[in-house]
Amino acid sequence: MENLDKVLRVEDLKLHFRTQRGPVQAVDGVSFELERGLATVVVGESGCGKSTLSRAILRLLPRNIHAYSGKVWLNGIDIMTLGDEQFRRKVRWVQMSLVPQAAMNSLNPVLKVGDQVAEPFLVHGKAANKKDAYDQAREVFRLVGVSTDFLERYPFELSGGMRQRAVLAMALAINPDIVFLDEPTSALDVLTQTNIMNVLKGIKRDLGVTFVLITHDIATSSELADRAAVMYAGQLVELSDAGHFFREPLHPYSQKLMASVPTLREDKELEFIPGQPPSLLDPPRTCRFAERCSLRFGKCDEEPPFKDVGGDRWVKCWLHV
Amino acid sequence: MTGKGNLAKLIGVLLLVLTVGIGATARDGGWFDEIVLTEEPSAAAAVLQLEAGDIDIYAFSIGDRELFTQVQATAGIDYYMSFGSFNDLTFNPGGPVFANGNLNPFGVPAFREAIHWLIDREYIANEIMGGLAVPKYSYLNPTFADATQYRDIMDEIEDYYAHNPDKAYLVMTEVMEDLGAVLVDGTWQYNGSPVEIIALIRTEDERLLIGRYFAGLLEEFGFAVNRMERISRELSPLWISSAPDDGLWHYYTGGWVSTAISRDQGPGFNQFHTSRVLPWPLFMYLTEESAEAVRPGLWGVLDQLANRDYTTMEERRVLFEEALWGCNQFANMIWLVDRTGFTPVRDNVAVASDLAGGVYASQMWGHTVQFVEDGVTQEGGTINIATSTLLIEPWNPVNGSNWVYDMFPIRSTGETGSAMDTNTGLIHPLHFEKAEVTIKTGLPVGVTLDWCTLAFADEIAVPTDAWADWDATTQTFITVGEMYPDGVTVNRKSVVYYPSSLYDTKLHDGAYISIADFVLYMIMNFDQAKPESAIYDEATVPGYDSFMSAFRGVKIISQDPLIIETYSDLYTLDAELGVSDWFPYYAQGPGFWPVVTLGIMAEEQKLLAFSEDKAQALEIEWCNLIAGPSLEILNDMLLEAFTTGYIPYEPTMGQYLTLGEAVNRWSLLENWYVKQGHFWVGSGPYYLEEAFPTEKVIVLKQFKDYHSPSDRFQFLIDEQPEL
Amino acid sequence: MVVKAVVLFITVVIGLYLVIMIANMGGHLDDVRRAEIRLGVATGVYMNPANQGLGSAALKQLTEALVVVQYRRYGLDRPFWIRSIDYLVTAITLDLGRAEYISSDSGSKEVRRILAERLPPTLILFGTASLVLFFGALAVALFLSRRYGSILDKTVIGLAPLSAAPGWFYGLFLILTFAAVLRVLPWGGMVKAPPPKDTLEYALSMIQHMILPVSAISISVFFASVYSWRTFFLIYSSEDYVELARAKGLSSRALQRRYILRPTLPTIITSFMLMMITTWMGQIILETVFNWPGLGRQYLTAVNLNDTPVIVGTLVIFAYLLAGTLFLLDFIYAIVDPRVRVAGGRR
Repeated sequence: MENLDKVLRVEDLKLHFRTQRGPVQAVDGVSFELERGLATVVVGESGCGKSTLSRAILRLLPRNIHAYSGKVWLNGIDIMTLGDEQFRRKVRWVQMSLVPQAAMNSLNPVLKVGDQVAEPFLVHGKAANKKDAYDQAREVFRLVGVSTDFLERYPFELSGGMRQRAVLAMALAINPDIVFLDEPTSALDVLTQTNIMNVLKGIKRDLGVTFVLITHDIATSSELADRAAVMYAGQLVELSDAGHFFREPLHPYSQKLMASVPTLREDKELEFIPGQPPSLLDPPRTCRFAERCSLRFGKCDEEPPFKDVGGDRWVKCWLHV
Repeated sequence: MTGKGNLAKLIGVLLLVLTVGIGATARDGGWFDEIVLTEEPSAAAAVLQLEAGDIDIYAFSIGDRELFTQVQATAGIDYYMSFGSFNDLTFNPGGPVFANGNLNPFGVPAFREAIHWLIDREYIANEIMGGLAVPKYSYLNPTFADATQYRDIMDEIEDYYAHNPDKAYLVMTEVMEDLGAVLVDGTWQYNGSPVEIIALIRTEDERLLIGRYFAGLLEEFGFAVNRMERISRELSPLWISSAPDDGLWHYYTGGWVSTAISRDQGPGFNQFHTSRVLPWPLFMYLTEESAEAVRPGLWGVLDQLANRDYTTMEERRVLFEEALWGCNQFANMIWLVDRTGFTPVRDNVAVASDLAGGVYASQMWGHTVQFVEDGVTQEGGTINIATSTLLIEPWNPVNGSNWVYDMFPIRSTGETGSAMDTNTGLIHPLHFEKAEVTIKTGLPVGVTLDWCTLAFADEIAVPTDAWADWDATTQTFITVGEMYPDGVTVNRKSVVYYPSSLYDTKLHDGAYISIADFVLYMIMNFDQAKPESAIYDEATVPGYDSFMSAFRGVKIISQDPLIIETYSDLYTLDAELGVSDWFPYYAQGPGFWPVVTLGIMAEEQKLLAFSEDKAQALEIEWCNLIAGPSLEILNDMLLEAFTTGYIPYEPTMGQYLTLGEAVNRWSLLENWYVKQGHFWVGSGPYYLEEAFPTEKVIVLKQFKDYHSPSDRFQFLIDEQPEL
Repeated sequence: MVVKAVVLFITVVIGLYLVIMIANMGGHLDDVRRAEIRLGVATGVYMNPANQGLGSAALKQLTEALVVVQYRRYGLDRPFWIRSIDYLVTAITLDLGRAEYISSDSGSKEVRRILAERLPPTLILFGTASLVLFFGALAVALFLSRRYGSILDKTVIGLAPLSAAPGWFYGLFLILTFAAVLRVLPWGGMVKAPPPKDTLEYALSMIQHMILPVSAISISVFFASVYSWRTFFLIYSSEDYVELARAKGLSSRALQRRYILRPTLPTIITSFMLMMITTWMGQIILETVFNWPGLGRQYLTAVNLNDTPVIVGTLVIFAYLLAGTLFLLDFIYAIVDPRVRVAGGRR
């Protein structure tokens, strides 16, 4: 009997790519849970696998798959066992949607914005006809604060910020349970960033949508986040509530991350982390951060488990286990 | 069984016996029910189609040696040979020193003569032409009458002028040295520079190889040869139009075609070896002076032969001998080979193929073409024939397309009064039944066939009431008495007798031939050349002038049966060929009076023109009886004629045609047009069912009411010689 | 605007005059024609059996008189440069004039009729080939783009070099195989002989005769088109909006149609038009190989005969077809790609 407050439960999710030099273990045994109505921010440096994680859950796979396994319970059902057609009809956009990175290219340049926003309604049978779909699209536009005039326009006629909001509107259209946002604000100016964040906050509050915010901009996302997750070299290394995380990160890597973020009040010296993440082609059997960890000790030659160390704070580090 | 039943059975049996017993030739008109003509520009593709049985005849005279080998090796395909074309080397007679200072050794007759010995005709015929040619030492066609009767003279000539390079070099060297040239290290030099020969070599066929072969021989001798290998239109301005002394060329690979058997090749010498006929600069060079310098008396001899200025065949032979030797010595043109072309057919096909023209230029192909199985001619069915191109230009009998590929189908739909003998070049009666020819005493005319009677008379006077010319204003004939008040005599009188069954002869549209058809034909001989005529066409004037230079008068002495007398100064060695039958078959096809009249009416109103020249000049359509915008115009004329009962050239034709007859003919023609969609009406064994100009297909069908049995001309096939 | 039109017009005039000059070899053609007329008349007189009895003087007179008539008929009695102006005026006023040598299939000398009779067969053949190619290659390219790297994909790509040879080249082999050896398809021509009277039968026969020439064109154009379009589709299918559309739960068919095909259409159409223009060049020889009674073959005949009015007329028609195609292209772009339409409209 699954607890339906946990809208998503991921168990040992693996996604390995096939390349000419061998399999790349982009997502390697990730497990976690999401509570309904909360926003989780997933941080990590480039190439850590956070975007791939969202694609793995959403089943947006490239052609060159080497391995794809694990269990993903969404609203109590293991969606990994669903066939493609079922997945398309029951899961895609209905239960999970996506606001992708750089909305510059997220909209089809030759279709009207309105057509694209209306599409989900029509595809999933939530509207009787095109007019009905357009009406509902107008609603959702108002929700995100975009003038409904823009429904009649083409994507290239919208500014970057408006496009992002339109894509957000599209993602919210048919009331999914989870919305994945992949770097939603990184290409935008500061003012728009704030606007979007406010919109997201409002929606979370009013509609109870579960957000997964993938970003390396910790600062901006800190306001929205209820929980924080850190990925390193294809694995989750820390997951806890946002408040605790920001004040007191547990994992050495998280600590280094937070140390590299400038804060308004403190006058701290910014640190950077020397070295590079390990190659995902043949990751070490050790703790993957061990190489660059200043707190490394003997046990770190063995891969630590990802464990709840109390108060729903999960860490993958021998220091805390 | 009742008595009546028995009687019926008896009658039935009798009828059966009668029909079977009448014999296999109950069929009239063509042997086939249908002939389908298509277009195939590539001879190679046509041979493949023949092999596959998709076509039965490829009506084209192919000269390609490789295809010949292929056809010979293929079972199921046969072929007809024809001797229609021949090749020569034409020399520039100018110089011997050109205006630009260059040397032309060919300007010296002795040098030209030496070329006979230099070239190896056997090599050309066998190696270059692959056996599809025979060596040629005079312009006489080897299968015609003259070459046959003067075989012994030709043998002597061939012996004398046989391949002999040493002799050639001797003569050529002597000439060069006389001219002041020197041989330096194997190269001839004149005035310090090498002697260069400009060779005009045609590239379209084996002439390319012939030209190169001769260039090689000249180079061996020590000349530098500038080989200009080009197509016809690039070379013709040079050798035809340029002045010889301009020195733009030295030799040209020439070729000529003849598609009709000639029974008197005497006039040809003038054409090829003197300035008398062709008004081209290079021929104008061949003056009496130049001929006399080589062979005194030759000039006069050639003219005598051309004008038939001799009285006996012995005289002719002497003249011929002198002409043959003399022209070979003069050698402005050296004859190389006679080419044989072959027409490939399926091996069950038999047809009267013309000795010179092959199948596609044969007058009698339509009358004879047949399938033969086990020696028995098949009746009915379809035959598929392909030609190189089809439906190139408009069809009208007066001055329409004269492309051989248009004449080919036309000849199966129409006939002249006589049938050409494709084996001998003589003629046989077709519509008329017999003739009498009277020749002025002393002229060398003979007769071979029974239907023609030959008589001689010291003086042949032309009756004063005979028609000598035509007055286009009054639309009546001008009599001999009016034209020649002092009377006139002629060299030849021909009397042609038509049987009374002539007027029972049906045409394709169901009409019967009438005397009006003949009279209009006579009128059309004159009218278009008269400026006063409403249909004057200056393009017809040269032909008319040529005709009038010999013609003196024609007279219809009996209408039924039809007997026509003709008086003319023109005569041929064979009396048969001097028969003027006036059957309404124009230059380009059959023309019976209603159809021709429609064309006349259209031309009067400047809507159509019979000739291309006039059409172009007036910017109107060229009259086309089978397709195109002409048809509507002609139909309008037809309706006009029908409603008014129009009779053309009424002052004259009105005497030979009543209103009732005219209306009847118009109505039959109208029915024909409604049924067939065209105006092509003839008397031949096949009629034009339909022409498809875009798809390039012609369908001919058997004319069931044809006047004669299908096997009437079988003898043409039976008597075909082995080539 | 007016200046532009005037400049365009002057360009056209110069272009046409150049064509006239070239077709007439700068006037040298007159000498050629004169010589050919002399040869033609001499041969004709020599070959005509009716002249057999004539004396030499009469023959000469006849020959000379006929040559004069022919000179006049071809306008050789007027200097070339005057006639060249005539040609030019006829071409510009779209009068098209009368042909010098060629007659139309139905016997007319009017150039516009000559061309009008030959245009439909060419359009039918070329049009059919274009349609077959466009939709066929499009379907296969889409199909292959989803099976990237498969054996089928590799095979089709491997066949792309076939496009190096023009259509008529394959035509020769096709005729040899299917007409000569296997005997299942016709050798050439547009319909069977004799042409069927019934319209349906006629159409069927025409289709049967189109199989080989259309196949010939297709072999030449197909594989290169498929290769380049499948690559377009591959590139375009890795666009972000395609991924998002898939995430939205669109079916493959809808995805393909709206998110892959629609955006690539302008590129595809341009590529297609360019390919067809090059194919058009080979149409002349293709029609000759297949005995297809079209404009291409007519053009070849005209060039061989130096029949200037027909040459110029054909080029004028071709220029119009080209202009029409480009205009159509603009039109299609506007329909298919809103960026062109809206941005243009805003101006």
